[in-house]
Amino acid sequence: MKPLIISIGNRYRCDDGVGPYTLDLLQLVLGESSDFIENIGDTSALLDIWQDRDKVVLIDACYADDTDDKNLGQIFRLDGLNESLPADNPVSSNHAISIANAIELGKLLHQLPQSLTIYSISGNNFSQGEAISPPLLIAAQHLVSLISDELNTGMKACTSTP
Amino acid sequence: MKKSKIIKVDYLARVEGEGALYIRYDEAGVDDVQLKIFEPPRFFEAFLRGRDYLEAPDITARICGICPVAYQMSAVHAIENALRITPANEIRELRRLLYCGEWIESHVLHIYMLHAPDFLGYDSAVAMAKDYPQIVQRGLQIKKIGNAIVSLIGGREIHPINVRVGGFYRAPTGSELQPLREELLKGRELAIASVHWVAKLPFPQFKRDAPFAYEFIALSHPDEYPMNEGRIISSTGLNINAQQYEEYFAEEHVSHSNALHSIIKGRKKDNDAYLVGPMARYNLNYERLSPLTKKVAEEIGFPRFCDNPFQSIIVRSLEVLYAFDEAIRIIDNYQRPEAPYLETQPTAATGYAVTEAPRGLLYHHYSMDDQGKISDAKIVAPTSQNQKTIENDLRYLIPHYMHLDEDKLRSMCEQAIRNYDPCISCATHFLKIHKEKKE
Repeated sequence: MKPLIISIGNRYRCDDGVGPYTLDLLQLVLGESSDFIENIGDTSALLDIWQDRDKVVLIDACYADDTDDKNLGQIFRLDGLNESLPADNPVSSNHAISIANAIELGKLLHQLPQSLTIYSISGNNFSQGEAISPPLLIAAQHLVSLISDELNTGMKACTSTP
Repeated sequence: MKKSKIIKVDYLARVEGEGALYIRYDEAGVDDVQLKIFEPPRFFEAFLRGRDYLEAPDITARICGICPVAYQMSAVHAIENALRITPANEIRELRRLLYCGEWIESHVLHIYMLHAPDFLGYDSAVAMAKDYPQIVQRGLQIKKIGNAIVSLIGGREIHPINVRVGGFYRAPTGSELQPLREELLKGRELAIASVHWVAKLPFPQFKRDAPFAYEFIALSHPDEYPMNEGRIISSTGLNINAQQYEEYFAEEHVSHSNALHSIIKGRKKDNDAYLVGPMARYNLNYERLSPLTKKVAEEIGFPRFCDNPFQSIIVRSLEVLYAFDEAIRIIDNYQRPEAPYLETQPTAATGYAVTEAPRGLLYHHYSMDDQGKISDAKIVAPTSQNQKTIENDLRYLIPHYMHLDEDKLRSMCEQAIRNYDPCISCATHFLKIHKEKKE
């Protein structure tokens, strides 16, 4: 079964668009070797999307409290099945059901994939607009390499983690 | 000196978007209510200027991750109004089917994930799922069928791409719809069970009597429960078409919010708010619900008129049932259109449309030049229209629940806001409560 890569985020909300932006790049690099889904905010749909999958990679923007300009574009990697999202959750996008809640619901209702990797890139501008902050664009390029390597070799990528 | 208390919520959970709430009150009543919405407004209206008219449905669909179909529907109808074209009835029916899918998705998300935990005393759907896994599972099953409709007709589950001005890029065959029909039959049974379950939730008593009774506003169509078409009517006798919307309704800026408050023009300040959404649709269009929906409403003893917003969750569950019934009807009568869309030519014109998003009236207005470039756009989302009514509800609610401790009162206020399923992503951004005491 092909890996499934899901982006969360809205292209018209500045840094929130880094997820779909990264997804676009990955589609160019990985082509038909993976499946791709762009989710612009209905995170409750994730349970259906990922439940029968072997490997799912989820890409989201996050807002970390300490995100000042020098920390913009940090990449966080989490094992979604075995690591809890931190209480001061860096993966805390603005969705009615948080990703952490979607994972918890998936655990309770047995609707999780075999493997779930969450990558998140820190941003600080989530207002309406198309402009993604430059450090996030650079981070997206780096993340494409990390995910491509991980999917191609099965190895865990090495990233800065919270 | 009177002791004032302040409720502040810096982050309101279980709503789509971000915002904050500020309430100042004392023993004598509520002095001030501010539902604060933070985002800079009107980005999308500015963004649309200079874009091609064919892009409007896809661009506006990205305003909201929960109700993209609503934005697509209002956009295509407004542009078709400008172009003076009317797609074939088969297209009309397919659009209605697509809207059924979104109503199901959006309403079920709100019922099971966002609102039901309030009534059962849980702070999240996850906490509720620990005690009611089968109930939450049922909600997800129902929602999945709504997703399937959107996926089949819209071409993609999350952000539909098959909608275009004049129709669809591709219309499904009848045989492609048949597997969906089987799912809809199962879903309809689940939706009936859902209504019966929701009806048993404990509802706070809340009523706004005259002269502060709600003014309900919704579309009305002579032949069907409203979705894409109809006149704008109200519980006080308004009856206008979409083109007249801006003659009767205005948006005004309030200092505490970036979202504009919608009001009825020509009214006094304390009497210019109105209510859109499921309760308004239900109250103004009960007779056009399907026989099955009315039968189930009668079974649970639900009246034809509902003015307790805490019971809007029941109305949503009935609309979910209606959407299943209507989707099955559409599939049973489906004729594939001869062409999936009407060809269009740009012309300098202005068009207007109002459709019924899950949360209520969604108004779009576009002007374009003879090259089809959009020169002006106006979008009024349902949450903007309900914002003043939500604030008024809090003014009337708090005096009745002053006996509660502060945490419970704050929770009650948040629940009262969630009665409207506010979508701050549409209105702009949403909410947070702090409670401060001030001598």
